[in-house]
Amino acid sequence: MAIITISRGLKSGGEALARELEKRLGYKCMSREVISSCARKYNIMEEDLYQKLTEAPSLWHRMTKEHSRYLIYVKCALIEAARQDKIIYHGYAGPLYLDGIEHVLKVRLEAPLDLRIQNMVDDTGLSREEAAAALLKVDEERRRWVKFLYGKDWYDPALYDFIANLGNISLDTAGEMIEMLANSEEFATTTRSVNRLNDLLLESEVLAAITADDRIWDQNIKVAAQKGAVTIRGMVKSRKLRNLIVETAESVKGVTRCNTHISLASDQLRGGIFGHD
Amino acid sequence: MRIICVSRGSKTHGKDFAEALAAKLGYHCLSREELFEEAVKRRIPIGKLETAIVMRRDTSEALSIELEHYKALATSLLCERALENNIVYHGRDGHLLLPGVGHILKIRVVLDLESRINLVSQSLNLTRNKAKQYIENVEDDRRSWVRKFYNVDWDVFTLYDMVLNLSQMSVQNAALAVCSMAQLPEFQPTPSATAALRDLLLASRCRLRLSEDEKARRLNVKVRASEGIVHVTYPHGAVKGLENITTLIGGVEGVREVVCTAAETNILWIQEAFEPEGPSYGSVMEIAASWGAAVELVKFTPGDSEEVASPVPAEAESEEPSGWRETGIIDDEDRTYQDETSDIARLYARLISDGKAGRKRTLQGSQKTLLNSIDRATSYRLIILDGIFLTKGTSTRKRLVTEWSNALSDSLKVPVLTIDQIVSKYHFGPKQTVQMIACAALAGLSLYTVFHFDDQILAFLSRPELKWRLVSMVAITAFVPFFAQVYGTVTSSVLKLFKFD
Amino acid sequence: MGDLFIALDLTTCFQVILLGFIGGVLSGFIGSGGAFFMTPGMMNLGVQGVVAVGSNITHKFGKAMVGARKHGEMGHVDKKLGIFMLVTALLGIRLAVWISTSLFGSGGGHGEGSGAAANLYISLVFIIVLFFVSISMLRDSLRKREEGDSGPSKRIATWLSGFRLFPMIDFPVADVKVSLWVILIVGLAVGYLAGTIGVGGFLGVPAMIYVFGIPTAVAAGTELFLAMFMGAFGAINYALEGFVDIRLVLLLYLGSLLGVFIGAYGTKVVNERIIRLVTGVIIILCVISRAVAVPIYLAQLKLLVLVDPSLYPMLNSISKAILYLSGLSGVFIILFNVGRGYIRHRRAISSINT
Repeated sequence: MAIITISRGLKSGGEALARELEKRLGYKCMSREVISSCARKYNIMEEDLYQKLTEAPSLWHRMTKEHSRYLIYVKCALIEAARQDKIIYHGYAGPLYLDGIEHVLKVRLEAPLDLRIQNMVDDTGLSREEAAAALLKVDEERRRWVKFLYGKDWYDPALYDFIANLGNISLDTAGEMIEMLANSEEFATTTRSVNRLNDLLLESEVLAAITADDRIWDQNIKVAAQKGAVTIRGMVKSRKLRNLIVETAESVKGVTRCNTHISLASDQLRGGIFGHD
Repeated sequence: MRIICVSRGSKTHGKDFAEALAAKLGYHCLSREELFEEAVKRRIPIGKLETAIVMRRDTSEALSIELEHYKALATSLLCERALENNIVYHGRDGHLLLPGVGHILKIRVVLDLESRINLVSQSLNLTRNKAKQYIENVEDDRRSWVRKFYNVDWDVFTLYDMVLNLSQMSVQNAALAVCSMAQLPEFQPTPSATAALRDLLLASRCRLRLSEDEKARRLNVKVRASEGIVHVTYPHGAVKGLENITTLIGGVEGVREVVCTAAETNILWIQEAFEPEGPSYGSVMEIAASWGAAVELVKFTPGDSEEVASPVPAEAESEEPSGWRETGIIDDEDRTYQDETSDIARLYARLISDGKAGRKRTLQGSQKTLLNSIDRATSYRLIILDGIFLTKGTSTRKRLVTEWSNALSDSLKVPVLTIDQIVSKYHFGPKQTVQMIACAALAGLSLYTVFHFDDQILAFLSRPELKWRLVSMVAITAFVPFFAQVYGTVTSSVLKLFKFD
Repeated sequence: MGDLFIALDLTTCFQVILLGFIGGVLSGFIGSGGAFFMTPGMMNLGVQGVVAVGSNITHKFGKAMVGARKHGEMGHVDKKLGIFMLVTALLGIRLAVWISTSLFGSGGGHGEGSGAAANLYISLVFIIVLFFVSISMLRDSLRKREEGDSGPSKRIATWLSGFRLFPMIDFPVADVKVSLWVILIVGLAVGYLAGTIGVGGFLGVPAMIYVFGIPTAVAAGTELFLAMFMGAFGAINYALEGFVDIRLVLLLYLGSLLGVFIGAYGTKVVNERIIRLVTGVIIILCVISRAVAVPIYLAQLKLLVLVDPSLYPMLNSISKAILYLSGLSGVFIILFNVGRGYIRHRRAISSINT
């Protein structure tokens, strides 16, 4: 019993692998559904949400209000979905949002570029050169996106548990291997890992609530949760904003206690870093 | 003779994993350290090699010869073991040691940085920062070693079959999972893989035989084998002591014939059917002569179109993949050994008589078969891919040839051209002469105009009114690149004429 | 007109072609530049400094167009960095053209004084900048002997990264954050130098590597991107002012396009340290040669009389002699190596073929 995330470059056969695993393991396949449910929950146009998630960072690398909101909403939706367990998620940012959850098996697919190009040509009818350029562009955008948003290298193997090269092994073999790993004890759902998942959800929900508020959406804070107790760290400009953040966090369903270690920028200038409980 | 290669970084549990895997499968386990020990026994200065590569010094010729010796030794040991038993090999270069052998299961083992830092700081008693530094240094050294030896990047994951991250998996369970995979048909030895292994073994044994001879030891020669024929290529300087080579190698068991070719580089010529008497031979020979290259022949028959088209199912499909069906060298002894009148044999004979023969091989299968069969450690300056898919229609054939050329050049980083492209690029024929003369005439005319009417032109260019200044600006910015282009064509043609490239 | 464009006889033509050839060999050999040789060379032939620079930039622009079309690829370009640098560099060029042309106009208006101010100014900038370039190049090539290859020093980059003046700009391809002000200053300087003496890459690449701390490959790629647009812009500007001598440009091509191929071949057969050493020595000789000519311009401006006026022709000849000496000996070293490599290669091949 586990959650499987599949990451891959465009046209590397990710969906086919997801279907194969669905057949083998009887898990539920998910991708776009997470985004749809997110759109419904937060009342956003699905197309709009999808576009914001996939478009490249602007030339100036500025995060807009919508952008940061949508990202955290999707994270909430994904974790919410992951709580069902036994799912195969082959959509956006799987390994990044479910980082640190022990029963998540993070799979990456590699396929030689020429095969991916061929798939692209077959699917879209583009010329080979166009297809190659499009693929490389998407790869590069994804890499930059991941680097920018999560500070991680998309190609770092340590980000994944298992990387299968579909240029050399068949889909069947990869499926069998993943099946074995998913059934092994290391990736079994335990009370500990479920607790961690719930904590992660609460963290994201608090962050989502804060981001939803126009006055405090861009404050530089970090949220950590443990069994309903939420700790917020960071630095804000004024006492008023600090109180607002605490209020917002406490209003989130499931938060039992809120510890804050938020210092004020003005305090820090004077040389003191204070927290308050 | 199943082979599993485990490539590992330092402190990634790779050794434990390989040993666990070998124990579970009942295979023999062989490590790079054992190869090193053997090398030391045979007087190969392996420590010196390692330092030279790690320090990124330019390796002297003597040292690069020792590098060849080590490689030959490692290959021969590995092939011997692999032909006798099933083996698990582990080391940094596992996935590269046996080029062209198709059925090897290539696994890379990684571990997250944090765990590695902990392992290092515990075992070596270092601080966190020192441990991190240590890991990065060792990793860098490995990268340069692999680059120097095999001319590929260690971190290109398409070179492996799979990558396992042991951060969360236990070594035992990971080994267990791989165990069942190793039983799958796609990793079972095929006749072609066995043949490739035997070729590698023969070549490396011959190379080792040379290294045992006091005189021949210092020769910078490359040895490759195919179907019992051993090819020795040597650069221009090594002609002395050459007579010796034939006798030395002739004594190695399994050698049917020794062919020596002087060459600075190699050209790989892949075609489905050759025309030994056709005009393309002359075009290829012209380049081979000007580069001092040996020509290696591959007669390649593509497998059925289904295999070629789409081995990875596209995103939308959900049906079973066609999978790789491995076919290989036509293992029909009567045909490959005795058919002296076949096209490739006649072409080969011509090459031998012109002193330009590299290897010759006959292969059949998919694109992957072809890619796997090409040795990445050999330096090719050019690959000629022409006349394959003869059974297909003209337009299909053209498309497929382009696709395969792209795949080859992407994967090997060597230009891949058809015979026609070669002619237009390297050949200096009537067409090029006409082009050169035309450009020269244009350039001459431009020069004559400018200098004959220089007073008028300069007066025009320095008119003070803005309108005329704009016109002269446009004229200059258009004329100058035009002249540069025309005259540039003339100079490059002249240099091409003198084979100055 | 006689003031602006020199009269060309056969000897001068030949000398310009030779200048082009030497510049071409050097630029093919080093990978960039050549202007540092051709500009002073033309000035020694009596060409006005402004015209020399203008023709040179135009010549470079045409070559870059052909080159870019031939390669058809820009490799690693950080387009964002390129655009930032480009905008400021274009300002720099504009500034440089403006200074040069107004100095040219101010130099007394007629006779020998005309252009002397611009000549002096161009020479001084040339001397100062290239002096530092050559010194650092020589030091680099000499030091490399002891130490191993340690990559570019990050000292300046680290120091400057402390300079976190708002707004900081993130460059994704190069993976660095640099303050906008630093970029503005560097871009302006690169453009200004390119516009004044026709030498931009010499400063741009090291500046990007050492000051911004970006990888060498990205720096070189971005510089290529910059050079093309800067060359075009410089050419347009000087052409608009009427300071491009089209005859000189063509003559330069006659030599340089041949030279570039030979120089590029040279990099394959000559050791890299020697490349740097030879380049450093050539540049410093160019600097000295220009310095020798400075008293003439000073006197023409009636500012300062350093030496007896009767010695001016001699000074000019000395300056010319040093320049040719440096260029010819550099080219001789390169050609010697190229020739040796070529012959060795052909002999090897013929021995293989027999």
